[in-house]
Amino acid sequence: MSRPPGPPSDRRPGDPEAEEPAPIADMRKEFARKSSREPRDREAERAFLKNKIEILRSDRKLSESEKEEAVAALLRELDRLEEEDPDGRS
Amino acid sequence: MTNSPDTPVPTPNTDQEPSAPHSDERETFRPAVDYRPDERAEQAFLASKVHIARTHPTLHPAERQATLTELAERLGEPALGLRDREDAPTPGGVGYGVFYNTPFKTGFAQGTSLYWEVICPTAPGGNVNTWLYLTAMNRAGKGLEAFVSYYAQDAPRFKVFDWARDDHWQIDIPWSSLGSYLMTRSAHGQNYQALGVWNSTWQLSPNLWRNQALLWNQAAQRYDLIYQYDYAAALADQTGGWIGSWGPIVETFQPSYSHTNRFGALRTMLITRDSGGSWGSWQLLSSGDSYIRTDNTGFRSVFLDPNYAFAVES
Repeated sequence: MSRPPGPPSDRRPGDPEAEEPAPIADMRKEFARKSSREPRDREAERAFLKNKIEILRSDRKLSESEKEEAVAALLRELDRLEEEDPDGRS
Repeated sequence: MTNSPDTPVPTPNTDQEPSAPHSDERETFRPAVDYRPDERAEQAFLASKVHIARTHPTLHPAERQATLTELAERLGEPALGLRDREDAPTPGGVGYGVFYNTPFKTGFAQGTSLYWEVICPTAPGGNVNTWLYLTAMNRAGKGLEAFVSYYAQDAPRFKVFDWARDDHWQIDIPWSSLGSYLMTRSAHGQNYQALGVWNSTWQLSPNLWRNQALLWNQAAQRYDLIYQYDYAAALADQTGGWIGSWGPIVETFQPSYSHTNRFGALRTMLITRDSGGSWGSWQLLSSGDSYIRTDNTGFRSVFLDPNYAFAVES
């Protein structure tokens, strides 16, 4: 188990603090608490997935078979979302 | 190379005979008497030209306007109203941004990590009237998107969408809570408000992986771990497929944008963990490992440092 080393500092070379890895504070609880107050926006969730599908379909570097496979996976995600909220009311 | 008496232009070089003869087939191609124009197709043709002019990525706004004026003169003023038809396709796309080349997308074994600084104004400005995302992935197919989400002219939010979970949406933070994380970065003589985002995916043990998102806390000069999730996956789940193939992108939801503020990315860096479990060194995202995609939604490049930093505006 090994987390990646921290990104390099943007401080100038020669600055002794530039070589020191920046500390990491665990703020997960605080962010989870702030997030949990927000109501779920299913319209935004649907838009997120639909937009990814459009980006995928218009990707000129992918073959049709690659697109089909990836679109199918995204459509499954979208279907699951629809099942959770079939009327799209929330 | 010879010229026909009727066409004083040199014949194009082809793989065929160097002096191919000409034949007059105008009668063959003349429209039939009962020909009916496909009005929808013709309007789509004109609308496309207007769209290209309105969103051309290398034209300044004034040049776009001049081009639109020219089109109005050539095609008639109604042509300019052909945009945004109700039957137009869903306008999802990439306003501007970076995608990883396939060898780079798949070029990790036990982990991959991305750090980038999001150029994210507090208001999107211009004609943004729906969602607009500033997002990126670290190459892993079951990695996460830790991104800035705009909706219309509202204050943006910071969100995490985890592709490894069924309940993807995990973090949704109002901008007002991010004061400690916003910083000012200078690039090409201009100051930008930016947010440092670090997201990682690595193998904890065979078939067990971890996703993490951290933010650079400018006030405290440290990274804050804001999200973490462990899950079962195989290496093929991470390196295969399309998900994870985008670096920093301006993800768009409208057919065209104008007069927005500047968005972009600075100091985009990635690091790779090999099959022996060793992390390499952070490398700025290069043009050899990635390419720029723009879907002509109106964004034009302000600068590009291939391909680790860019700013766009419309």
